[in-house]
Amino acid sequence: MVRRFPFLKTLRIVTTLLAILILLFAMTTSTRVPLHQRVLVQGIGVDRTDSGQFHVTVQAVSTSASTSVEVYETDGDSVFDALNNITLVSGKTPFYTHNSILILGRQCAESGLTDVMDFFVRHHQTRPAENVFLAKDKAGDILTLKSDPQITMNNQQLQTNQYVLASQIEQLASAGDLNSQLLEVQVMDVANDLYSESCDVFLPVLSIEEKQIAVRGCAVFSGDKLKAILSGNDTVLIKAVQDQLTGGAVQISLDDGTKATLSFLHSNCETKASLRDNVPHFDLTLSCEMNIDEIARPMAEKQSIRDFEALQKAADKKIRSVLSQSLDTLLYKEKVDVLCLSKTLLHQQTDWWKQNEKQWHEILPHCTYSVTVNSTITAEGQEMSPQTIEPFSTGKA
Amino acid sequence: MNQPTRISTAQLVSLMTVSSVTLIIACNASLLGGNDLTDNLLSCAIAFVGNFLLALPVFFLLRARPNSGLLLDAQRVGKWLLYCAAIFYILYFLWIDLQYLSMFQFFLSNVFRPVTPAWIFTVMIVLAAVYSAFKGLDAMGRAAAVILTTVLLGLSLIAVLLLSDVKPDNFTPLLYHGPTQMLSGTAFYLSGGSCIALYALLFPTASGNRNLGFCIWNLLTYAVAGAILALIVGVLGTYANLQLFPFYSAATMANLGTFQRMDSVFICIWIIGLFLKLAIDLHALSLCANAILPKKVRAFTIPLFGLFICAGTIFIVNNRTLLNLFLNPLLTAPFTIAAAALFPLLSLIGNLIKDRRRKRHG
Repeated sequence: MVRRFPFLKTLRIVTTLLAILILLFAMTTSTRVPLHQRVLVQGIGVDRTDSGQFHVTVQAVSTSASTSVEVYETDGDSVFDALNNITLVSGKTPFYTHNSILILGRQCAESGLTDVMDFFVRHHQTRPAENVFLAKDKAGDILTLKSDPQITMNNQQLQTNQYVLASQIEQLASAGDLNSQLLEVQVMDVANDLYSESCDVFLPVLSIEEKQIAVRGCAVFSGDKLKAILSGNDTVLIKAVQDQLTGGAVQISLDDGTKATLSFLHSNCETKASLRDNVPHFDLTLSCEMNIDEIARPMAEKQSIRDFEALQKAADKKIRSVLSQSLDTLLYKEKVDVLCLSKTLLHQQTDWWKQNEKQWHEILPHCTYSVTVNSTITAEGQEMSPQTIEPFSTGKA
Repeated sequence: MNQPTRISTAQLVSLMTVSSVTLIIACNASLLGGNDLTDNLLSCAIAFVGNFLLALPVFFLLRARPNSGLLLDAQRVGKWLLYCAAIFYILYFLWIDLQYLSMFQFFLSNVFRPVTPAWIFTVMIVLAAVYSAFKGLDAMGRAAAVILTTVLLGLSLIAVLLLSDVKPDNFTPLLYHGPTQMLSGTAFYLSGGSCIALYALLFPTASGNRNLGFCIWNLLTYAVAGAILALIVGVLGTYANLQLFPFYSAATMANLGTFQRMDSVFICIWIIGLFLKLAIDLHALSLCANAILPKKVRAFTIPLFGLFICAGTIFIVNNRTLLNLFLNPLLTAPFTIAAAALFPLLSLIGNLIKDRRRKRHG
C-alpha cells in the first residue's frame, strides 16, 4: 500500500520553505543602509543665495563616537537638490524621519514659500508635524550657532556639543503654553494656509541675541511671500484667537500707581461674524482666567477683596488695548488674515462668503471689529493679598 | 455540492468587517471625489442605507431558502444562471482583490518606500492568504475574530491619540459646493462593498441570526468609516487633500507621551486586514470555480487564483493607466451593484417562478 503524503502537510512545508526563500532573497538583494552610513537629520535650515540657489544647513545626530552633532551646508537648484548634495560632502544617506524643525531664511521667505514647502509635504520621510520657524536673517546662522565658542575644551566631544541643538530650538515651539509670545506652527499649518488662499501664513521669528537663540515676534505673509515681521504683542492676539493664551504675563498699573503682573492660566476666545452694510464685522470676546504673579507694593500693606475688581478691570483694559492694536496692524496696515477670520465667515456667513471669497483680501481692510475682554483672577499665589476672606484681615490696610 | 463548513454569524461579521475596513483606511480626496471631505460624512450615511437596499434580494433569498446559498439557488434555476453567476463572481472578486492589493503596493512604493522591494510584500501576503484559504472557512472565521479585535484596537488607539488635535474649524459647511462630492463618495463606499456578494455566497455557512449580523456589519463599517473621515478632516484640514493616504499622514502625527508616530500601527492594520480579505475572497473564488469546474482541477483553483492576483498586482502597479482603471470607484461601483443585487435578484425571481410552476403542477 502506497502511503500518500498528506496534501495539507505538503502545502504547509512548501509554503514555509517558499517564505524562508523569499525572506532570504529579500535580505540579500535589498540595499540596506547601516545606521552609521546615515545622516540622521534633526534640523533643516533653508536660505536663498544671491544667485537664486538654495543653501541648506542640516544639523544631524552624529553616528560616530567622537562627536554628538554634525552640521552640513550644501547648495542646490532646489531644496531636494541641495539636501541630496549632502551625500557629496558626507558620503552618507540623509534620513529625514526624525527631522523636528525647519527654519526658513529671510531671503527665502521674501522670494516665496511655494518653492520651498513642496518637498516637506511630498517626501515620504518628512512629517506634517515638523515645527517651522523664520530666521530674522539667515537660517544657517541659527543652526551653526555655537553657544559659547570662547570656552576652550580639551575634550573634542564637549567642543562640538556647543552647537545650539535642533531639539533645543524645537522646545521653543513646544513651550507655547509657557509664554503667550511662543507660537507653534507646523508644516501642516503652513501647507493649509498656502492651500486655502484666504488665510495667510504666520511663523515665529528666531533671532540670535548675545549668542543665544530667542523667539522675537512673528512673521506674517501675504500669499506665500513675507510681508512683515511683527512684535511679540501681535503674537498674543494670534494665540488668543487660537485659545492658546497660557503662561503669558500682563503688566498693569492701577489708578493709585500700583503696578501688578498677572499671567494667563486659561483663555477662551469666541469670534462672531456679522454683516453691517454687507461688510463683515467681527466681535471677539476673550474670557481668561488669570493669576496674580506680582504686586509692587509694601508687604505690610494688604490689598482688600475689592482690589480684585480693580485688577481685573485694569487687565481687561490692557489686554483689550493690546489686541486692538494688533488687529489694527493685521487688518488695516498689513492686510493679512493670519487669524483665519475667513473661516469664521465660511461657517457663520456661508452665503456671503460664497459670493465674496475671491475678493476677500480686498474686503479685509474694510472689515470692522470689536474686542471684549472678561478676565477673572482665579489665583493669587501663596501671598494673602488681595485678601480673599475679609474678616481675617491682618497687617495694615 | 458538499455540505459547507459552519461558522458563527459573529465570525462571518468579523470577516466582512475586516474586509471593508481594509478599503476604508486607504481613502483619499481623489477617490472620494474632491476636496470637500466633510460632505463624505453624508456619503457614509447614504452608503449605509444603500447597502440595505442592495442587500434586499439577498435578504429575501435567505428567507426563502435559508440553507442553500446563492450558487445552489442559481443552479436550481438553471445551469446557465449558475455558469453566469460563477464566472461573473470570479471576475468580480479578482477585480476587487487586484484593486485592494494594487492600492497597498502603490502605498508601499510611494509613501512607505521600504528597502525591501514592494512586490515581495505582495507575494508574502498572497502566499499567506492562499495558505489560509486552504485551511478553510473555519480557520479564517476564528482568525477573523482575533484580527477584528486587533484592527479595532489599533484604530481606537490612533483615534484616541488624535482626538486632542481635532479642530472643529477644519470641517466645512455641508454641501458647500453642491452634492457632487457626496455622490462621488457614495460611489467609493459602495464600490468597496464586496461584502454583500460575500454574504450572498457564504450565508448558508453561518449559523445564528444572519440578518442581525448583516446589520451589525453595516453599522460597524460605516461607524468606522465616519470616524476615520472625521479624524482626517478634523486633524489635517485641507492638508488631507494634498496627501495620497491622509489617514496614514494623520497617524504619523498621533502622539501621547512616549507613544509617537502611529504610522506603523496603520501599516499593521492594513496588512493583516488585507491578508484576511484576500483569504476570504480566495475561498469565495474557489466556491465559484468548484461549482463549474471538474473535480480534477478543483485543488488547484486557490493557488492559481493567488498567482493571478499576485502577478496581476505587480503588473498593474507598474502601469499608470491600468492603476487608474482599477482604482476608479465609478468603474467598480456598477460591478458591485450587480454582484450585490443583480444575481441574487435573478436567483430569487427564478426560484420563485420555479416554485410557482411546481405548485401549479401539484
